[in-house]
Amino acid sequence: MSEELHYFNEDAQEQLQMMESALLDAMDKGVNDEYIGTIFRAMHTIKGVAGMFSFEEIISFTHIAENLMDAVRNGKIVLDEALLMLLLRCKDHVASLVESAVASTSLGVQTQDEDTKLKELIHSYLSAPAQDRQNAVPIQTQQTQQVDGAKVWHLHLLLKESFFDTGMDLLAILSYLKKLGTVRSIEAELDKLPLLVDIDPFIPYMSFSIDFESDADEADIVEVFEFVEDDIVLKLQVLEQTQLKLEEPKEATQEAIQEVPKNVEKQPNIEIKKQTPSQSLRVDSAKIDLLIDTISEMVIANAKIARYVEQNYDADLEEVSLELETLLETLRNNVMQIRMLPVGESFEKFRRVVNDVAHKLGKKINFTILGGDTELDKTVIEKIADPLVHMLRNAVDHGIEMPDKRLEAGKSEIGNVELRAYPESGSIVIEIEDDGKGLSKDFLMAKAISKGLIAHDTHMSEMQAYQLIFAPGFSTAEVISDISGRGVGMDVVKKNIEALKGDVELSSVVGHGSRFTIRLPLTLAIIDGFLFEVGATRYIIPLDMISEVVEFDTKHQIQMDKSNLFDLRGTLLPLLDVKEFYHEKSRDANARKNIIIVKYANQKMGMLVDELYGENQTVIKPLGRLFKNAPGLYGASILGSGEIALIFDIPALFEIVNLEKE
Amino acid sequence: MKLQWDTLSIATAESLHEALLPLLQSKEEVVELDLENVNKLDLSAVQLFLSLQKSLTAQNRKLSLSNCTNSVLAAFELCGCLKQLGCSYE
Repeated sequence: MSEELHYFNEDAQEQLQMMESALLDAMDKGVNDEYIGTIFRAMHTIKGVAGMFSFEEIISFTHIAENLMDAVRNGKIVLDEALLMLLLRCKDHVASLVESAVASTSLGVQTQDEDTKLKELIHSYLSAPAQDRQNAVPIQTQQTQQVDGAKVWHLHLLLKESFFDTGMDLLAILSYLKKLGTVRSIEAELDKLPLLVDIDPFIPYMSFSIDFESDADEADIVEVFEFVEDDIVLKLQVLEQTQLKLEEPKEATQEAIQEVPKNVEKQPNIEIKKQTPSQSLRVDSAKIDLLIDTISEMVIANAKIARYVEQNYDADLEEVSLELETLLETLRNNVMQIRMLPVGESFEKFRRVVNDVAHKLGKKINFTILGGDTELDKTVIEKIADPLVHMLRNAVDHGIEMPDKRLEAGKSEIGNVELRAYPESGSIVIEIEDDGKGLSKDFLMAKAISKGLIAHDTHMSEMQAYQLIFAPGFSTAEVISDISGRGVGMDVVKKNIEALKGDVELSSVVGHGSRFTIRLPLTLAIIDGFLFEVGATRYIIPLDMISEVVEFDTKHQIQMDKSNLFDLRGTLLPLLDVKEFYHEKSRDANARKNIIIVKYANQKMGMLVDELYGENQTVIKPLGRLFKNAPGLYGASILGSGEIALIFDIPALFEIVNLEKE
Repeated sequence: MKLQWDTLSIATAESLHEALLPLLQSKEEVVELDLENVNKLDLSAVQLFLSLQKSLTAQNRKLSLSNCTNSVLAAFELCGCLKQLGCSYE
């Protein structure tokens, strides 16, 4: 895919997302000018950029949709719920058209059918007499009944030497400009054009003077040249403007413009300041991944230098190495920050899912997103989307009751589903909570027994019973629908979350609702770790998950011999003897030992280890097959010495310890 | 001379330039370019035709573009060069 096409695709996706958000907001909060403007601009912008690529299907459809929104904007058509639903279909259809255009594939039969149907529906709106729509809900619009009339613009367009390097065809751009209005005259300025023997065919020498009549505003016109804005000098000037009432027929408009004398006194130049250069830059995420990989290798290389310094007592080199380490840490943090995105943008897409499912089931849902500013690694955000969609559908389908049942239960007929995100000790927590009917331990166990997933006489704690929902083949749905209830999904959801080194748990109160809690690591690439040794092996724990370190003494030894618990200032915590857990061999039985107190999800436990080495920039590498079944390990890291250190998966360790407790 | 390209773009600009240069040495008073095969062109091609025309005018000679397809005429019109290049839709 060419770079331009890639940007077209990204822009179109952004516009469509904004359109969808505006449509859903309009459904939830009522229609206003801002939402109408956003929907109109989405269609208008996609049409404009598609014009430069000659994507005729997109141009044709968005043009009609734009006309429809223009009529809405002008108060000629009322934006009621039926039209909002139609526009959601239009949004989906444009997404399909963009997908086909970008992939250079012809439209499928279904897409062609949808294109025809939607165009017919839009035409029926555009051609229906006003009285047909009198019963519709009025728009809460503050739009004035007067709009700016057509303007006659004078454009001067100078092409810079770099213009042909853009690969853009000026004629396609001018062709699109014509779609915004009427070109009254265009004059090519040839005074700088060299003779054929002197010409460089790769440099443009021409400039253009264009008189252009349009009701488009300055931003719309400038936008036409968006893709080549760095390779042209564009000056705009308004020659004449007329005020028109909305109801005036178009012919009158044209007459009015034709009356503008040719030698009209020119108004002062509109100051077309080049838009403030954007403070953001689009970069292919693969380039950032490459940068992170390179930094990872540099971290390892510097660790080798540090190791050399340690062995050779070179003070000067040590200073350089420490400085390099600090710089690398800063560089790493800054680059990692580039990958961090607020989750809100991705969460916005789920509103449509909730809306569609609720609509289909006849349920009323108030969907709230909290903590949208919480940042998470881009890859994690992308990979968590599918599991979240699944859980949200389940929450609406299984969790929230039908309106009449809610009323019977003394609840509001509108169910609440909340999606929230917040940081917590080196992790990000995402919660999906509903105020629906909830699930009981007995209900879950009875279902599991009926499906043969557990034996009749199985005893389980509440926590274990809630984990049943993630078992393959488990479903709480009474009726299998096309939305959920086939029992395939929650096990896949759990697997997908675990693949991201996260975990998911369920808690529920019958009659009050359920809550899924997902914990995810902030990033999957480099972490600040804490290095220590047990037996002959080095291990790392993510620094954020360490609460404190205490020296292991005889008092602890006595406590541990009795119960595998130890007393931390009056609180009894589980103590995991790492050496015993991994069957490590002791090097020196009398050597000093330490307890690392780790924390996760409001729990704490101690880990009995040998020597502590301290903070370590940890580049996470996947574990080899040999360690596939080793419990509680997350990955590995290469140390400066070339040795391998194993990285603990603290959430998994807590799970193991909790199960042992139970 | 009949141009053989279906599309004239920046990718063919150098070749077109090289193909047009010998025409400056020819003897005809009117240099005719047959564009029957050309279905699409961009500004780089238009610019070369205009440069050729300017060079011929300096030699008191003329350029005639013949058999232009509608898409070629539309391209000339778009950039305001239809009349300049002596073309029309008729």
